[in-house]
Amino acid sequence: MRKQLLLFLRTLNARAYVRIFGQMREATWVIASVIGGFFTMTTYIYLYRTLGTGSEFSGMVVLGGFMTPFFLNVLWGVATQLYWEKEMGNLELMLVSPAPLSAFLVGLSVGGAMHTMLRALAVLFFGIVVFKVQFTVLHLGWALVVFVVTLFSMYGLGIVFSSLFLYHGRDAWRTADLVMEPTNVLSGSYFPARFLGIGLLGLAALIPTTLGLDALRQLLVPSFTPIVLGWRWELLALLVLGLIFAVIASWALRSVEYKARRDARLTLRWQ
Amino acid sequence: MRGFLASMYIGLQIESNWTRKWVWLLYLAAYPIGSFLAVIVLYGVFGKETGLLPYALYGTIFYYSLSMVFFDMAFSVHDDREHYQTLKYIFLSRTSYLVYLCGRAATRYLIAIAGIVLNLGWLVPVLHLPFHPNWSYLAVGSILGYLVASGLGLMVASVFLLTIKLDVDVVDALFGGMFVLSGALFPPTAFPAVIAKIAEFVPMSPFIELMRRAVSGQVLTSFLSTTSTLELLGRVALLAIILFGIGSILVALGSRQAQRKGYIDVTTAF
Repeated sequence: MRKQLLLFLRTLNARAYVRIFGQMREATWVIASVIGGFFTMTTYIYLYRTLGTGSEFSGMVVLGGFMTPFFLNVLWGVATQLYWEKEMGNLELMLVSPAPLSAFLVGLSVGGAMHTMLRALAVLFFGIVVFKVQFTVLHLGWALVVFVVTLFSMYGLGIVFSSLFLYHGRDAWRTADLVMEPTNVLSGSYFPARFLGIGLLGLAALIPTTLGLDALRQLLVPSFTPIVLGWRWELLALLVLGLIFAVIASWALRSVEYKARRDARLTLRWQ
Repeated sequence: MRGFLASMYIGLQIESNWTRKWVWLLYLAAYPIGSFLAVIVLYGVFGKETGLLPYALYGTIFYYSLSMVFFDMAFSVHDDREHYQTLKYIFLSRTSYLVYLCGRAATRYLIAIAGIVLNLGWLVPVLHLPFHPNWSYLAVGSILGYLVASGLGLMVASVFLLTIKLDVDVVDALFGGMFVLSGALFPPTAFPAVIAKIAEFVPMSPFIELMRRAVSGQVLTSFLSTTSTLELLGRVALLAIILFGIGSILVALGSRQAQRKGYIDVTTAF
């Protein structure tokens, strides 16, 4: 048991290390993603100014800009990663090694969250400085708890999708590309999710970013009123979602590993 | 010409052969929705009074058509070199790399246009968008738009040929900036005066405004309103010649340098 735990932690550490430091080696990647995030945020802030909405919308957009890099990291850095590893020819090696696939994906998530944090904080910083957005720090502790639970739930969903995407190959890659923007819109990254209406909101609530962002806005933007639920309920819902995703992810990974070993096909490139 | 058509065919295969034809047709129709969904939600909820929905919707849709071209051109360098590992074979073939890139991007552009046409089929009646198309402006504008986008895409592709570490985030940042300034989503008159002036010179701005007028038959806002439609067409044509010319030269230089430096078959797993 101790040996297995040690192996799990070592694998996690090894994969997280590559994700954190590998991404930091190239300064252009970090700078470009911060600039890209900043431009998206600028677009929506000026759009709201054109529409003549209140100043609280700027704070809401800046928080959306802070969370968006995490969403993109979950989609492109975790969900599609096993498929990408297969295409690069690494998945075979990973599956024959004694290292558990789940540790690999958890390490990927931890590393991904940490290296995305730098970019997200930079976007937040520029948003606050350039657009003079004010946040209240009265509930900062709770906001951090909500943020961490949101990440737990988001990356859990990413791990669920990684098995699915691996199983479906190129179809899934295209699907990720297809759903990226609509999911970003549905999760209320740049507007209050409450305006989606009950039907769409029910669907959007399955994306952890939706409830996480709504809770963060309640805790950090004092004048934010169009809420979906009270932030405590949203925190509870995120926790439950995260646990459900963890169970599904664990089952899905076992299934994929079994199928990969049985058919000896799932791990081959361009299949 | 044979090389161009063969490249278009390869482009079509890459885009479509991952699934059944009917699923791909659904995908073709659904894909552009992501580009304008935010516009419908935001202008539908907060901007009903402004009357800017047609401006933003047409602007976003036509920006999308350009973005498909330059993203595809830039990404295809990485894709062919790293993922499919076929870049070296393309260089060995008789078709020039410039023709190959243009052929692939032409397919992407036609697919984007098809998606736009399918979506305008329901957007115009449902959202009561002004629709009085000038077909000649639309046809000429579409061809010039392809050349403008290709010119920009070729410039980025030439840089990608000479580096193995640049990520597509760079393309996102570059064209994200152009998206803000081009006035696709809202009139750049919302910006401070200096930036609003700069916005008029962003390569996509005249194309997007030209296509807006060509499809709606109206000048929808004060942005570029003092410029006549024919003048806009002239500006887009000039931009197309300049950008495509520069892009072609840069790709030719980039290809030669990349071969000399051995960057054609380098794989890094980045």
